[in-house]
Amino acid sequence: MHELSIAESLIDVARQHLPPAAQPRTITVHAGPLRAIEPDAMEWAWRAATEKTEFASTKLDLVELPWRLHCLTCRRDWDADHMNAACACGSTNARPIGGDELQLMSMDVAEAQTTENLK
Amino acid sequence: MKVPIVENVLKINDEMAAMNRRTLQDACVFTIDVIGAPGCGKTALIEATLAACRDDPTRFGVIVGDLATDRDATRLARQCQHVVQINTGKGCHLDANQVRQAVAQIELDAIDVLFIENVGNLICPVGFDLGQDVKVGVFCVAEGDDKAAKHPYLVQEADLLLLNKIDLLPHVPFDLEKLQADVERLNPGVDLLQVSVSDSGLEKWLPWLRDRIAAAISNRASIAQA
Repeated sequence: MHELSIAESLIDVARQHLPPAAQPRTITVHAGPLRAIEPDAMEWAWRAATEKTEFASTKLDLVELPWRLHCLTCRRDWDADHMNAACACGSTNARPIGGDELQLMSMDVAEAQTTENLK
Repeated sequence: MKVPIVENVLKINDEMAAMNRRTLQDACVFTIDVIGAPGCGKTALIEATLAACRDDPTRFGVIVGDLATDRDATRLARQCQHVVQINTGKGCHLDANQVRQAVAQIELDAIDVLFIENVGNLICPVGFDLGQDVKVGVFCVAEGDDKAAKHPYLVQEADLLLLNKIDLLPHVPFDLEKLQADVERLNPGVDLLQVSVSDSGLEKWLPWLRDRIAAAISNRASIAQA
């Protein structure tokens, strides 16, 4: 369950980028396949970790990046659904490239309401 | 309004890990993060290593992480004066902040090498930098020959892989060449050393460890002189 640690860390990093008094609506994270993040577990962890924080109603948009493989037979690079996918040349001898990405990409925020708007 | 960011999600852990690395390197302590499944023999490996190196000039410390109990620390304390147990409670891996607090309890001038035995887990510990110099992944033959293929992140990140309980090889279905091929595909050139803790089969691991310790200590001494 590294998802909970990741959710807690994500709150800390997102907070540093949140404009003053803005309401975060959606937070977009890119995760490479090596990180082995389970989307359902991540969603649950995000809900649990954000409870009673300014992110309690913020949607987590987790983008699972595909495997990027390098074929050791024909030297082609391609995106695959799983690590042991066969190359178009028929070889199954491929090596993953990257895959350890874990980045907060962007945040969609509602701008702060001014006291004028509240009247 | 969309705010573009692009920032490492584990930035705060990684910054803390960088502080740990600086603290440990300034103190000339060579630090090894030991990662493996529960029961693969991490604690036994460290125990046997401490026993085998008893007459070496090298002084060891150990930080050991478990969800609960101080049983590993009690075992290791028989071999080593500088042992700190971290109980993570529900946490399935160590993080840099826990290690920072544990390091603060160790007299760094009194050790040359620090083992950090991570929580038994092949997945979660890999992504959390602790400030170590090297990561050592431990598999054992009783786990089966598909552990490398199923845990690519550990294999890719490891500076060394150990295959423990090699003495059990005649007794279990295990295709050594399959494991070696998976390792080579994921992390070309990384050493996969066969060890057996229970019958003191450490003859491949100890030279690797002693070479790395000697290199780290001489490297830091030359940096300190410069």
